[in-house]
Amino acid sequence: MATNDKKTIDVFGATLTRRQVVSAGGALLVGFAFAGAGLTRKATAARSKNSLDATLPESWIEIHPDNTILIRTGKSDFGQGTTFTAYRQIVAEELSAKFESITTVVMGDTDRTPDGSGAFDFLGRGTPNIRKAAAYTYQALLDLASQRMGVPKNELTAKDGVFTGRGKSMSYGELVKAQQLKLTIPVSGELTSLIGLTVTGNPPMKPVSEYTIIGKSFPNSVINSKVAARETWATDVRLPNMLHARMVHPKTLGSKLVSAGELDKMRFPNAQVVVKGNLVGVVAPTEWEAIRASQQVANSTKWTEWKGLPGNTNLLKHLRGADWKTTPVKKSDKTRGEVAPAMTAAAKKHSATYEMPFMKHAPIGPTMALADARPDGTVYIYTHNQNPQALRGEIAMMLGTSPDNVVVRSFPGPGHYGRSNGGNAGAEDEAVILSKAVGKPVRV
Amino acid sequence: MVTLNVNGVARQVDAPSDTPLLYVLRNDLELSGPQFGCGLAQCGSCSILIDGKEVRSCVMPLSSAAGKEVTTLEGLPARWAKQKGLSKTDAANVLHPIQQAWIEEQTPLCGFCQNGMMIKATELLESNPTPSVAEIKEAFTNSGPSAHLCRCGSYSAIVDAVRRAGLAMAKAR
Repeated sequence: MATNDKKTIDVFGATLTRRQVVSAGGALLVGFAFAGAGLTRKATAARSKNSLDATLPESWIEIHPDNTILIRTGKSDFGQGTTFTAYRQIVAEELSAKFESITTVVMGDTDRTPDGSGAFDFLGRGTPNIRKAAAYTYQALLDLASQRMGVPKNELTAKDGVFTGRGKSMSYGELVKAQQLKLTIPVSGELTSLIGLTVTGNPPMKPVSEYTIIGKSFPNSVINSKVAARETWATDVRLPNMLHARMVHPKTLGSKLVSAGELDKMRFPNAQVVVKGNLVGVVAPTEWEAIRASQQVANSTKWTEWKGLPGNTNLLKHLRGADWKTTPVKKSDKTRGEVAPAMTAAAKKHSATYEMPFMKHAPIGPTMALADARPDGTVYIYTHNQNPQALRGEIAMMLGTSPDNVVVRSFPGPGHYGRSNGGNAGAEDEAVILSKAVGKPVRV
Repeated sequence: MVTLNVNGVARQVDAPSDTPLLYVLRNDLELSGPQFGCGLAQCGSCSILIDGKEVRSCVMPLSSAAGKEVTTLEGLPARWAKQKGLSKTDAANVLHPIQQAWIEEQTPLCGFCQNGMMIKATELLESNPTPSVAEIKEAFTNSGPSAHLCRCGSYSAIVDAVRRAGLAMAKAR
């Protein structure tokens, strides 16, 4: 129940809106605003559904009246543990709160986390989005504390989630109790692009010399549930009326479907073959029937022959024979100086040939996904993917719909080592197509 | 209908007898410990204990498990509690020393293969609580249908965790 005494305060480029609330609840909710023209119209429209809206209290950070803190990040953990260790440390540090007070980390759900991008560069650019979000939040708390405690900001000190000054003290939980704060933070970029959104502006950050949490080791909290078999992995997600599926793939990349094999209905009475273009899948109520039926169908499915790959023995010859002259050369942002003059001027020269095989970004388990294409046109995907927002954009593009209608929920699974940083890992699109075809949730 | 004894409880399963045990454990009995890795008994992600011996559930037909004692990752705490004669209340609050060691050594990265690693460690430490590093490597590499694989490369942390768990189990003896 908000009263009408809204106030707006400028916080280093972010805008803080404060509403006095009557109820005893309340939390500091940090949302974000979209700055400038960085966002395309399509993505802006997508905010209307299944995305965080700048004007709604969907948040990066929630501080609760009981002094616990929840953080959200679009980054997915793939075993690095960064979101459960470093991100909590960074937020705790910027907030001057305890590491342990951050009790919840929400990550990689496209409708429940604010930013996007892949499971790479968690700390690489020095300032992850969550750090700036935390820095803005601290400034908002400081403003609020100054006002509530009647102590000038420069006389307040913060430690372990408590402000003290002039003999008074107040915890963050007490501060946000009966208050609803909405801080809007400037961001740029495109949510469903490969690198996602970037928090902009320059909030004051805690000087490194004052760090007490960053630089220490903290246990990775997600290990406990994985070791104790209490985790919900992507492989554990089940939906009512869900069908299991197995794909019938050709042996190699460029083959086209000639004819899909006929299903032996006597042996597999509950299975069904789905054909869409060159895609062949078999669905059934149980996983074992889907597997066996797909093997039977695969045996009689005909594909065109394709010999476009050079094979292992010819691989290096094939690469050397490629047209490298017209291949665009792009300098990395790490490049310093010029190679050719440096080589010419070198006092000693060493010449050798080095060959390295292709490294497969292969998880130990198969890529899998559960898709639920609903009658209202929305699609929910439950999967393990390094770049859920990019996947969301790709699935929307595939379906010719808006990202509005696509939700990706992330669950733990086998490490991908980069495979799905570009979005689709190999099962999500197939699951969506099959689910749409049969009108039920399908697990590939 | 096949009756299985899983983690000390008799469970009725209505599935074709040639269904690999892994699918029964995951889909019918809703256990999340054993994972589907390769499906060919070549990685160890799906490992379980059958009568105390580590087996690959992805290639074991349901019929072969009938009447045998199946232990999954979920069942390790109760297995330990039973071996130690712990009370029901105590048993509900403990992890197996192997699981505890896996946490203390912060062994997993993605953690997908660690089910099989902990199952293998259980098989090993129940017969040899203080194995040498060479014995640990031998057990994890050569004693099953294949080596237990971890694509994140947590091998040295696994060896450390097995040694830590062995010491804890020996101490509790």
